[in-house]
Amino acid sequence: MSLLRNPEFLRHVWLELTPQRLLATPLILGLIVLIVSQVEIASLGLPTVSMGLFVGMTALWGAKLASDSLNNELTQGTWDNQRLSGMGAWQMTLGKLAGGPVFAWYGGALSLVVFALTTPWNWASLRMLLTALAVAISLHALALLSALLAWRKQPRSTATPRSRGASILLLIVFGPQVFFMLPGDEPAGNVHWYAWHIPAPEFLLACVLLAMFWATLGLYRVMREELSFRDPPNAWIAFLLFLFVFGGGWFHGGQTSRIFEDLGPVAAHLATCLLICLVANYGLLFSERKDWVRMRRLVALWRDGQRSRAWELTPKWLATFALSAGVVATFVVACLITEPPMRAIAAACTAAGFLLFLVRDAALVLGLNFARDQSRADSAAAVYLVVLYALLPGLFVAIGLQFLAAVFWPPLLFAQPPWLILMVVQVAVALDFAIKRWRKLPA
Amino acid sequence: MIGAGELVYEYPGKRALDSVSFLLPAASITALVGPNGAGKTTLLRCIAGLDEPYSGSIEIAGIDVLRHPREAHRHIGYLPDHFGLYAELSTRQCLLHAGRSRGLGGEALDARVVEVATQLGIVDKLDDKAGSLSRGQRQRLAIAQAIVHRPSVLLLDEPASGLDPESRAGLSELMRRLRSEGMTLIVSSHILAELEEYCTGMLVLQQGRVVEHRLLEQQTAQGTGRMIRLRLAQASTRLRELLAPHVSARTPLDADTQKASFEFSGGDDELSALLQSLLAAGLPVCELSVEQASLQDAYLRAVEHDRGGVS
Repeated sequence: MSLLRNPEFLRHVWLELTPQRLLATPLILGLIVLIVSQVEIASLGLPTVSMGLFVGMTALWGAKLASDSLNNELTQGTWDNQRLSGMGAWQMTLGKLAGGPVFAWYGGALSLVVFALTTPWNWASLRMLLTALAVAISLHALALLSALLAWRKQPRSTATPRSRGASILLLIVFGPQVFFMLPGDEPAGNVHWYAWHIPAPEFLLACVLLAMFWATLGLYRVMREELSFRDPPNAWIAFLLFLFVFGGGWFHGGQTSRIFEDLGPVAAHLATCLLICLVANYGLLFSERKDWVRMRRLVALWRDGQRSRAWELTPKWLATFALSAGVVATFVVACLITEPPMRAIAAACTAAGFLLFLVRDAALVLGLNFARDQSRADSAAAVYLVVLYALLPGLFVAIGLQFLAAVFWPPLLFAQPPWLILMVVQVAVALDFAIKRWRKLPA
Repeated sequence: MIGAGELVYEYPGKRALDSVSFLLPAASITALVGPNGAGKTTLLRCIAGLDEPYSGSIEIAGIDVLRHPREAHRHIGYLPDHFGLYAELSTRQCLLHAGRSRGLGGEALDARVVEVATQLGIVDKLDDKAGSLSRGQRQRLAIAQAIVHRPSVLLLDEPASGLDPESRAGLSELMRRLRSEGMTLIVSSHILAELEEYCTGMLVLQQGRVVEHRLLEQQTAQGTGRMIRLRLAQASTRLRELLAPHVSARTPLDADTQKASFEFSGGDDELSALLQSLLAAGLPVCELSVEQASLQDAYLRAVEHDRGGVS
């Protein structure tokens, strides 16, 4: 179905493109262009200003509008009707992605007209335009995605400060980054990725196109879940595997690793994969809803042999944990094959330490969430983790027992592998806590 | 048409639906009643496929809602208790959007928008913004949105709240008309007197369980569910003893030595026989009145009975 027949897009057009706005926007932009064309502002020309306006309006303001379009559905109580509509997930994704920020696109399109009229057309200007477009769409998709994910953490009857917060955080993190696309600020030189030497602007364009693809796919998948489709976390796993492959580009093809200097390329690549898994796992542990009724259902389905349905209900943190365990096992084998024995043992113990601490921390977070009232469970878990990762090691260092700090810091295991045993004890205590809380849950 | 089997829904720490089972015939209107927190909204959301239960099954028009929720959505219209409208859109745009998002389009949709707006009495408000409508008009617009695609099942959560008496009468008429067109409706409401006007069945929920499911039309046809009030000119200790065999098992006999009130499950011939037997036994019956048991009475008795109390 074409965009112009998409009900969600048309609804946004009705809402956003009012006659007053349609008239006022070109007038305001025209005034800005007139001022810039008459006055030299810090040697900025019209192409730079028009591209800056495009990025500011489309990428940044558009991301806010996209996020607002979803948050308004929640506050106005219209989302349930949308979920019951006959629109498919892709139709809804496209309608939200293009419709939510449609007014920003209108302003952006006017800016692009100025850009097109004042810039000599060549591959560099086209590349800049494509990069800016891809960044804008990526940010819109991420803003919508963060709003949808933030909803899941809270009852839908409440307001949406958290989802708004997620979008604002997104803008703060990514906002300043997008301005490097302005003319003259493009990255120079080549990027050495695997065996290829790729010009930095082309590499950047490829990266933002990939980001656009994954952000849109992520939004589509979350939208499917909202519209009651049953999907296993396959797309999420595929995204992590993509990151593994992408991240490997800086370790192979005759490059020297700057992050894991002591390890060979294969081990360094796998260590990066483990790092990706850990970041993803901790992020999901705190961002996903830990609904123990759903977990109980998952266990019941698994026991009943309904494995495919159980896989559909599997939370992403659990799927990521399984992947993390696989990465650690591969890393250990790779180290034992490719690294000198002592270094291999030290590296393997360090990786195992990270995995054990992931189990410990997951048990802590879940144990605290195994309660009738889960509203403060995640923040309590965060406080406990600060104590375990910062205050306790700090205390040992302060009283001169630096060697004990390794018990709470997996990277230090590289020099003190035997401390792994004490980590196992911590994991056992955390698991015991979680299991006891699970058993105390009401029937 | 709508069937639920052993439906269980749990919130962390609370079982909202506990082995709920029922079967509702096509072209019926079922009143879904129960105290606050009984699980009515949760049940409606599960039937609509908006929330997935822990276990059990739901079927609408032969479609397994839990397995194929999107297919089921095509047959469902749903009005939530806290319904939402796009305040900045006009009434016409709201209805056009609702129709388009359910696959309607073209001139047929334009005609349908006018038709449904006329049905709901908001045709003169088509060009007004939804946000400028009164509470009752907004409610009618929300109902119009829910039926614009002619669903075969309509789920309404507190549809009459906020409506003035005239609008409520109009709503009752609309329900009856939709039913006559073949639609199956479930209406959750606390206003039992209005439900009585158009409902063909009643489903009573209490603490997540179905405590009563009765077909009101069938009951009327069989002459069941009538409340009998009886008074003697002089007290008699035999009154309770003589009435006991004739009282419906569903409700207890409320009687002393001079007056009695009870639900009578027989027809007119049985009632005549009862009166003759009382007179033959020498009881000085001076007053006998027959009342159709109201939905409210039936509901209160079901709830009291489930609590183990006596009405």
